[in-house]
Amino acid sequence: MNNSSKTPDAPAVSDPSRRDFLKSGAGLTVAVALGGVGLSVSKSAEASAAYPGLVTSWLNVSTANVVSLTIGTTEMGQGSRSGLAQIIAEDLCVDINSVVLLQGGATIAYTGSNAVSRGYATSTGGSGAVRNNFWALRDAATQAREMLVLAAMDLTGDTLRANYTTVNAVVTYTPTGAKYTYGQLADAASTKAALVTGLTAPDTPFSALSVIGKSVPRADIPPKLTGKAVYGVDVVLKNMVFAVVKHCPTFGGSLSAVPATPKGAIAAVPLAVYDFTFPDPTKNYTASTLLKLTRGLEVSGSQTAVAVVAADTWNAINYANALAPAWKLPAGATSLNDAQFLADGNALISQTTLPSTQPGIVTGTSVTPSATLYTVAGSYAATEPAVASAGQVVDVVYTLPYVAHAAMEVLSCTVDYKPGVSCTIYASTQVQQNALKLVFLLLRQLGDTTIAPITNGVWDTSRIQISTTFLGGALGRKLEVDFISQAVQTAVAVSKLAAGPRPVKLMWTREQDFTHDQYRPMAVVRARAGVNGSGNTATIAGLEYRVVSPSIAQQRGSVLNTNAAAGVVGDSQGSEGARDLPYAMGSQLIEYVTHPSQIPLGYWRSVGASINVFAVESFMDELAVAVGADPYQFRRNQLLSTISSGAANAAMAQRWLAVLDSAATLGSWGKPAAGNFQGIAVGAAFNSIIAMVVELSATATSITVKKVSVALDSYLVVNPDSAIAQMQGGVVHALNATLYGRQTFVNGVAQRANFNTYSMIRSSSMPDVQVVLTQPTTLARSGVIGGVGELGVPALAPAIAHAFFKATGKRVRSLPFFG
Amino acid sequence: MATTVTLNINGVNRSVTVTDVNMKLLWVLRDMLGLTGTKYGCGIQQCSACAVLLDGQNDYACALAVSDVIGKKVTTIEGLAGVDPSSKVAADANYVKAAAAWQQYQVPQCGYCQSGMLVRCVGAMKAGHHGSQILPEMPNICACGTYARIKQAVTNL
Repeated sequence: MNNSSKTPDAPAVSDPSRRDFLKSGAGLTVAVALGGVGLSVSKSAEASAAYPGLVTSWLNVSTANVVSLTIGTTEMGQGSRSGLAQIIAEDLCVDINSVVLLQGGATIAYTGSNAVSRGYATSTGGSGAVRNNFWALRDAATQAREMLVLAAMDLTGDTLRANYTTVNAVVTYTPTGAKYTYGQLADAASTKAALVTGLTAPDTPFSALSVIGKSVPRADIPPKLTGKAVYGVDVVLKNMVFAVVKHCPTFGGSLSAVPATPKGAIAAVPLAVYDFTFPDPTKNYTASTLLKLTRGLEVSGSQTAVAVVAADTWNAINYANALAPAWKLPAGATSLNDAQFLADGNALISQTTLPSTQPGIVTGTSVTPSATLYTVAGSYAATEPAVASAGQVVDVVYTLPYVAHAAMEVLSCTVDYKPGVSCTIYASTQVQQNALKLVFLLLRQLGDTTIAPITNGVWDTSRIQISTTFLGGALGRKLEVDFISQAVQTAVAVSKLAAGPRPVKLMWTREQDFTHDQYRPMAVVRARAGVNGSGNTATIAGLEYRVVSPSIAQQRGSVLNTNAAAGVVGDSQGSEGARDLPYAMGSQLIEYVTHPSQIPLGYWRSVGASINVFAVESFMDELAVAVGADPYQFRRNQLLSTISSGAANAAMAQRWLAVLDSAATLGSWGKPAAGNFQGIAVGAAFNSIIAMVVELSATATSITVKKVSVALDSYLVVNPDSAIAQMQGGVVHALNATLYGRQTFVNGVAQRANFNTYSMIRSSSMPDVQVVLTQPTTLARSGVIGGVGELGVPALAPAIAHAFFKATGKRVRSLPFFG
Repeated sequence: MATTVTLNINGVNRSVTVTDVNMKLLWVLRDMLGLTGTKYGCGIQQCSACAVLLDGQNDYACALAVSDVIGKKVTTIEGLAGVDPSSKVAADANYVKAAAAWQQYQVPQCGYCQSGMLVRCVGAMKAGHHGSQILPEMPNICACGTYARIKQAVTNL
């Protein structure tokens, strides 16, 4: 066992599953259940009995004194693996460097007729890798530690807990000084599960934490310095062939005939896009789930692309470039144009006759079919009189474009398919369990029920393995499984050639990556408010806010919620950053309108907050300008009003105020260097609060961002240096989007295909980024740990927009600035 | 037309058979020699993920044809780091300094672009650049946004 590197540089095939558990070797293993208490089980109990819970990971202390955590979360550069190791090290009382992180896969396992899911949490998104596993891992480590102590008690005969210490993987019996390594105790400890049932980690003063909250070097960095780290696109299997994908350039188009294999190539494989509806084993078959891979105008089963297979990538690219398949274009593709999208959005922004019981902001004309208005909060009847009777009304529209992900590693998946025997998937994926479901259903669709059998209604996925490599960035794009479906289809087709089955590595070119992305949706936002008074103490009488945007969830087949008692009305991600604002705003009407676009949509780092925080905070600046207030003091005063009102969101307003003040202090608000101009913004997403002060110089056609001062309150930060890196990186991601990020469309064809037309900033444009983080006085289970990875994105654009306004007098309401 | 050529990669002459000598070096390295540290990012000399040294100078493996590198010395990230299993050449002294700085400042996030970052940094050092002079020689794209750490890391090189 290699304990010098926590992250192997070669792809491991490993699952947080029954089979891993059974082969995990001697020692103590604790199963970790999602969202709850670590669940201690003995190996024999797990193997034989009906087993409750949604197991997400396994914590093992081996007889060789090695601590390993097998967990399905994906490392894509956010540093979560070190964060997870820190949590284990804290409560198990072991050195951080001795914790081995093993990449888990996904599995769906059963005990008799009682289906339960395993590895359910094997997806990584929503800035959740650390926070969603935090207390379950603390509990598991706590239970494992106490089981080890109980084993030591058997050896000494003394059951007084105070007579034992646990330090550096050693239990010491203090009366005699006798020392027992965890490895020595591990086998005996594994019989103590029943004695620690329900034991949980305590609330802990932050000052008493020894590993959590401290900056530690990331274990995944060394192999990333030598070229040895293996990403999805780097997987090499013996006898492998190489496939490159060519999609119909027009969204929704499909092959009208299967193209002939180019001379010299191995195969040209038509690739279909499928939707699957199935009784979901991870929901005990009680619910049917839709796994919808079609987007927009695509139809399930239609062949939207071709994989060209060759002996190497170079030849595959050339064959694919030369291939000119006949495509059948869908009716409606010609209406997929930027000008049309904007016209549709603008028509919906002031439309009152939408199919909704609530009237909208103002009167308008007829409406595009299938747009629906969802009232997220408030009512027009309550808000409009307050707005209309205010001393001043400000009414503006903001526009945001479709944005591509542009992760540096293009999409790639390698499939080792042995018909009737096994199918192993090596992929850069954020969603291992979705990938497993897809591959199981797809293999059945393609006729191989031998390795994807359903016996007595129960899925047997044991012949399919999902192996996760390092991800060369994801930014949300690798939540999709389109490329995995394509790789499996190609491998199955190759297996039917005369030469027989061979592993297939499928890759998208950068051009395919940009033009067949699933884009951050565009949006048109209208904000209308009434303000009273002037200067910093001016007050907001009412806010009417409507975001018109295509719904990601709806395009995937979700029915948007209309019942306020059941949760957020409409698309909850579409209104994130706009609802629950803690500013005192009098009466608030927040509306979400689905915009019926057929462009493929996806989750892009910070999702809806990237839209709404730009609009809300730009609007706060515009209100401040309208009343002659300082934008920082104006925000402060709206938060102070909420705090002094004692309203339900007063505590949240207090947190926003603290973060806003921290950023203002860090960024020396009001005192920019000569020739520089400042902007400020604050917002919330993923249960965290972010504020930024930007300092820049600008002309009408250029922006040089000099300094970004960031304050983050995520309740707890496990690895501060990693969190700072995420803030620095988030600034870059947001700068790319704010200055240049935009995909454009003509007749259903995405126009910007590579970095020569889709600009990204380089190191020479990097501003100085300073970060201040918040930590709790006492780390309590009642505290809500927020996300970090996506938080660096949403506040930058509005802060830049205001600083640009100060510099040039021009208010930019349409992003990007220069795209 | 399949052609067998000899290429000097990381100090070792290797014989490779390519379908034509216009094949780009990137794919020879990745698909034929298993040297996957050199990355594909754009294929059009925009992102520098494919950076290699050609006779010690920065170049783009995505643009160099096999015919361009015959008779020249190609150095990849594995060669600089001394981890090419076919090569006995030790790690490059400039690389060792740069990699230590990358480790000290915890530069990589996803890490995909960092092979190219380090190659171009070493190429710049070999060309006599120091400290912040190195940055203009590194127009690499990093989508994670590690630029702040890179600026720190090159300061003392």
